[in-house]
Amino acid sequence: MTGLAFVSPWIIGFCVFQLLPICLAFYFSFTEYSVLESPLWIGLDNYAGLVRDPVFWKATANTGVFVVLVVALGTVLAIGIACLLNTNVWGRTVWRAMVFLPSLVPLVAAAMVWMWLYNGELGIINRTLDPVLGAVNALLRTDLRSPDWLGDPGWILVSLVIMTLWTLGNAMVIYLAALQDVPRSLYEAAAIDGVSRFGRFRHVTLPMISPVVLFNVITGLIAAWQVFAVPYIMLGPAGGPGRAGYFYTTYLYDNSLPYLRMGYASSMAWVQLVVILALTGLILWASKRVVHYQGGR
Amino acid sequence: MARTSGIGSRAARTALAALIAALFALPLLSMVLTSLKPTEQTLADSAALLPEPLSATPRYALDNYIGEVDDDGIVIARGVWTDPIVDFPLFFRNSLIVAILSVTGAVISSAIVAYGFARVRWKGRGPVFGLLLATMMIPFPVLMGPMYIIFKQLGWIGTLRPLWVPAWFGVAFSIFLLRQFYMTIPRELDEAAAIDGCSHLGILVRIILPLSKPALAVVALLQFIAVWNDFLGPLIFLQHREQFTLALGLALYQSQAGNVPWNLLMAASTLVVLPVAVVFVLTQRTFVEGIATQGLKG
Amino acid sequence: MTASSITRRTALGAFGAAALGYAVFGPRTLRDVPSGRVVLDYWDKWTGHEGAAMEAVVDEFNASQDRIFVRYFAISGIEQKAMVAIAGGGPPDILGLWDFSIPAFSESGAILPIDRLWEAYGSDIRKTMPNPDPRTPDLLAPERFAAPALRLVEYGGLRWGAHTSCSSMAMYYNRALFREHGLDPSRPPRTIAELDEASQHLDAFDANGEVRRAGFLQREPGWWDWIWGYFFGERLLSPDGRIATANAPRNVRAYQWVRSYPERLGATRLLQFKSGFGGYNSVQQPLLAERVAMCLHGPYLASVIGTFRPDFDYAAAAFPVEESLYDPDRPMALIESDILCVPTGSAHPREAMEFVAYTQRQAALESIARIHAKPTPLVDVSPDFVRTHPNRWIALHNRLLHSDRAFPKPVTRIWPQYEAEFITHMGSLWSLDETAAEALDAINARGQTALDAEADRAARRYGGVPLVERAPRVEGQG
Repeated sequence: MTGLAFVSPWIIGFCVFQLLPICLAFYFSFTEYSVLESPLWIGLDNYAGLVRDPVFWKATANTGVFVVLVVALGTVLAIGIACLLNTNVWGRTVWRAMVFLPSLVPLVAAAMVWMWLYNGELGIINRTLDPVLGAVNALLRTDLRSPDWLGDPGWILVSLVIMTLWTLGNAMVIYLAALQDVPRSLYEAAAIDGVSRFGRFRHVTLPMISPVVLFNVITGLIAAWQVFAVPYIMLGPAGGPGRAGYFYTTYLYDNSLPYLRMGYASSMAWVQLVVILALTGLILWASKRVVHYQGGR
Repeated sequence: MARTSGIGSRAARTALAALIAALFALPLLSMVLTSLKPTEQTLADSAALLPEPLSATPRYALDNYIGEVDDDGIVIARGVWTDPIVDFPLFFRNSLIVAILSVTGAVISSAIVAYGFARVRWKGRGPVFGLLLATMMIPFPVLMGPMYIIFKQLGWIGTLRPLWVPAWFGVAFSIFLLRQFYMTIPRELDEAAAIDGCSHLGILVRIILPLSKPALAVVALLQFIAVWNDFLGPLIFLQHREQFTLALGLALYQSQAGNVPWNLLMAASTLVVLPVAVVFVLTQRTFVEGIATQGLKG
Repeated sequence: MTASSITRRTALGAFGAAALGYAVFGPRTLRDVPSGRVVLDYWDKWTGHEGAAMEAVVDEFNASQDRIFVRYFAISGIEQKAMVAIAGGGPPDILGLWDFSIPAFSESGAILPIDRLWEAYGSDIRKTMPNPDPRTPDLLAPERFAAPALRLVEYGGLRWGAHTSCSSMAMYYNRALFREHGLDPSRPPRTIAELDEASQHLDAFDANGEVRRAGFLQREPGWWDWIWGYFFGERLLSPDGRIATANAPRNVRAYQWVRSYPERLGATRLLQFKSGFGGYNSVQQPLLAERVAMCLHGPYLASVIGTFRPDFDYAAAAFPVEESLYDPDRPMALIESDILCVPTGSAHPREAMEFVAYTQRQAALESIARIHAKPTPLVDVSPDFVRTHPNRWIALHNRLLHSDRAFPKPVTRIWPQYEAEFITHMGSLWSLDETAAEALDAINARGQTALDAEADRAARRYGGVPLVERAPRVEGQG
C-alpha cells in the first residue's frame, strides 16, 4: 500500500487527464472519424489500410533508419563528450554550456539556421567543403561535389541526423549528472590494481552509469521516433524529394487534422505504441544482464 | 575530479573539448550574428557572416533588440523588446510563469512518485511502471481533441492552467529519470535508516533526495526546456494573444506571404537562450560537484 | 562552503527573485473589453504587417458602433486549431480560412453558409449598421464581386465565406535581363514555345559549364508543382470531382515539358544550382538575385521586392499557355482567396455576420488588399487603389481575377493528399528518375485511391443527401 501511496499522484493525474483520451484514441482507431463529425465504426479497416499503404511503409522505414542512427550515434557521442567534459579540462564550464545551449534554441530558429548552413552554395558547410574537395579533385582527378544536403534524397536523412545530434546537450547533461554518482573509491581501487584508463571506463564508469544509459536509450528512442517539427520546417510538408525526409509522426500528424482522418491517425498511434513498447521491452530484457543497479531491483 | 594524468594530455583534452564546443556553437554564432544585421542583410551573399559596415553594428543591434517607437506609438524600427505585434516581454512573462509553476510541480511530484517505483516493493509495480512508460509513446496529435474537451469541462481553455497543472501529478519522463537515479543509490543506506525507525517518507527526504541533487537539477532543467519549447499544447489550449507563450509567440513573426523578419526572430531567439545560458553557467556546479565533493558515497 | 559559491548563490537568488518579480508585477498589456458589448472572438492567420491591416479594420469596426466588440487573435496553424476548438465546443465567432478549406469545413457542417446567414440577418443588419457603403447598400450582392472570385467561395450550391483578400498568379520577369539579352521587355512570352525560347536566351553558364542562371524554372518557387497541365488545357479532376485525371494525355505532355528542363540543363547540375537558392523572403530570392529571369508568382511578391530591392526592374504578365490555347482576352491564372467564415456553434452568429458584412465595404477590402499587395475581389476598383498599390502590375492581377479562364486549386476534400503526391514525384521527375508518364500514373493511382475512399466515406456517412439539404440552417429573426 505504501508504494501505491507514493505513486498515487501520478495515477490520479493519469486518470483525470490521460485515461479518457487514450481510451477514446483506441476507439477512434476502429472508426472513420474526421474530428469535425462523430466517429463511425468501421472495424479493422484502418489497420488493414495501413498494411496496404506505401506511404506508411516509406515513413516507417525512414523513421527506423533515423531512430537507429540518432540513438546509436547520440548515445556514443553524448557519453564521450560528457566524459571528456567531466575531466579537468580548462574552461570546462564554458564548453559544457556551449554544447548544452543548442537544445534551448526555439525550433523555428534552429531549423532556419541549419537551412542556411546546409545551403548548397552560400552555406558555411559547403563553402568550407568546396575548396577542400576542389583540391582533392585536382589531385586525384576525381569529380567529388559537396552534397546537396536538403535536396538530394540520399543526403536528407544524414542532414537531419546531424542536426538532431546538435541537440544532444540534453543527454550530455544527464550523463554528467550520472558521472557524479560514480564513487571515486572505485576508480582509486582500479588505479591501484593497474587497470588501464579504458579498462576503468569499461569496468567502472560504464556499469555505474548504465541505468542512466538505459534511460537515455529508451527516451531517445521515443523522442527520435516522434521527430516531426524540424523536417516539417526544413523540407516542407511533403518531406522533400521522394519523401526522403517524411517520418512516421509527420504522416500521423498529416492524417490527424490536415487529411481529416483522425481514425487512421489513431490506428497509427496504436501501431507506434506496440512497436515502441516491444522495442523497449526488448531493450529492458537485453539490458538485464548489462545494467547494474547499485540499489538493487 | 581525480581522473588526471600528465599536464600535456590535459592540454590535448582541452583542445579537443574546445573543438567540439566550437562545432556546437557555430550555428549559435550564426544566429547571434544574424540578430545584429538589418533586414536587407540577413542572408546576403559574400561576407555574409558579419554585418556591414561593421561600425554600424551597435545601431543595428539597438534597432533589432530595442527598436524605436516615437511619442505617438508609431513604430519607426521594429525591435524585439518593443514590437507591438510580437509582444516579447509579455510572452516571456507568460513562458516564465508556466515554466516556474510546471517545473516546481514536476520536480516535487516526480521525486515522490519515482520513490514508489524505485524503493518500495508492491504488487502491480511492474505493470504500472509499464503503463507509465507507455504514456510517453502515444503521440499528442491523437490525444489533443479529447484533452481539449476535458480542459473545456474544467473551464481551463483560454487559461494557462492546461500547460502547468498536469505537471503537478508527475511527468512520466521525469519519474523515469529519477527512478533510474534512485536505483543507483546503495540500499544499505535506507536499510540503516529504517533500523533507526525512519519511515519511507523520512528515507526519501533525509537520504534519497539529498543524494539526488544532480538528478533533481537535471529534471528541473529538462522540464524547463520541454515547457519552454512546447508549441502544439499552447496552440490548441490558449485563446488570446495576452496568454501566448514564447514558442507560440515567435510564430507570429511568420507572415502569410512569407515576410519573416529573420533578424528579429534571431534576436528573439538569442534573448530566449540567454537567460537559460546564464542560469546554466551559474548552476552547473550542481551537476558536477553535488555529491562527489560531499564525499558521501566515496 | 567557499566565498565564491556564496556569491554565486546570491547572484542566482537575485536573478531568480528578479525574474519572479518581473513575472508577477511586470508590465501587462491585457486589452480591456468595454462592458455592455457583445464580444466576438475572431481568429485569423494574418500576422505581422498583414495582421496589422486586418486589425485596423477590426478597430474601425469597434469604433463605428457600441454594441459589438471584436477581439482579433492571430495564429499560425489556424485550420488545425479551429478544428479542435469547433469539435470541442469552443469555436470562435469568426474564423479566417482559405477558399480551399471550404470542402473540408462545409461537408462536415463545421461552418455556416454565409448566404443563409445573410438571408436571415441581412435586412436587420442593414438597418443597424451605422456606416453602410452609400453606393452599395447590399454588401454581399453577388454582382459586386468578380465572377471567378465569387466561385471560389461557393461549394455545393451554397456560399460559405466572405473574401478578405484575393490573389491571381502571374509570370514575373526581370526586364533588365530581357533588354540585355535582346528580348523585348514589353513583349513577354505568350506561349510555352516562346517561353522555352526566351528561357534559353536567358540561361547563363560559367566556365565549367555549371548553371549560373536559368531563364525559367518550374520549381521556383515550387509552390504549385501540380499546376503545369492547366497551361496545356487539362485539369486534375473530372467535372464531378470523382475521377483523377492526372495522367490524361495533355497532362503527360505538360510534364514532359517540365522534364525537358533538367534534360536540357543536366539533372545533377540543375539540382546543384537549385541548392544554392535563397528563401522566398530574402535578398537571395532567386528572381531578385537573378538566378532565374522568369517565374510564376503571386502579387504579394511586390512586398518582398519592396523590402529587399525596391529599384528592381520587373514586370508581370499572364503565364504563357500552349499555342492552341492562347487568347489575349481570356488569360489563364490560378486564383486564391482568403475568406471569413462563421463556425457552427458561434454564440453570436448575427453579430458575427454584421462584422463580416462590414469587412465587405470597398474601403475596408481595399485597405487590406493594398497592405497585402493583392487585388480585391470587387468589380469596382477605385482609381486611388491602383495608383497607391505597392504592386505596379496590380491592374494585370485584377484582369486575371476576372478572366473566365481563371481557375482555383482543385476543389476536393482530399486535395492535401493529392497535392502531396505531386510534390513527391516532382522530385523524381526533376532528377530524371521517372518519366512524365510514370510519375503521373503513380500520382493518379494514389489520387484515385484517396478519391474512392472519400466517395465511400461520403456515401456511408451522408447516404447521398446533397450538401444543400444537409448544411446547417440559420434561424432568422423574421
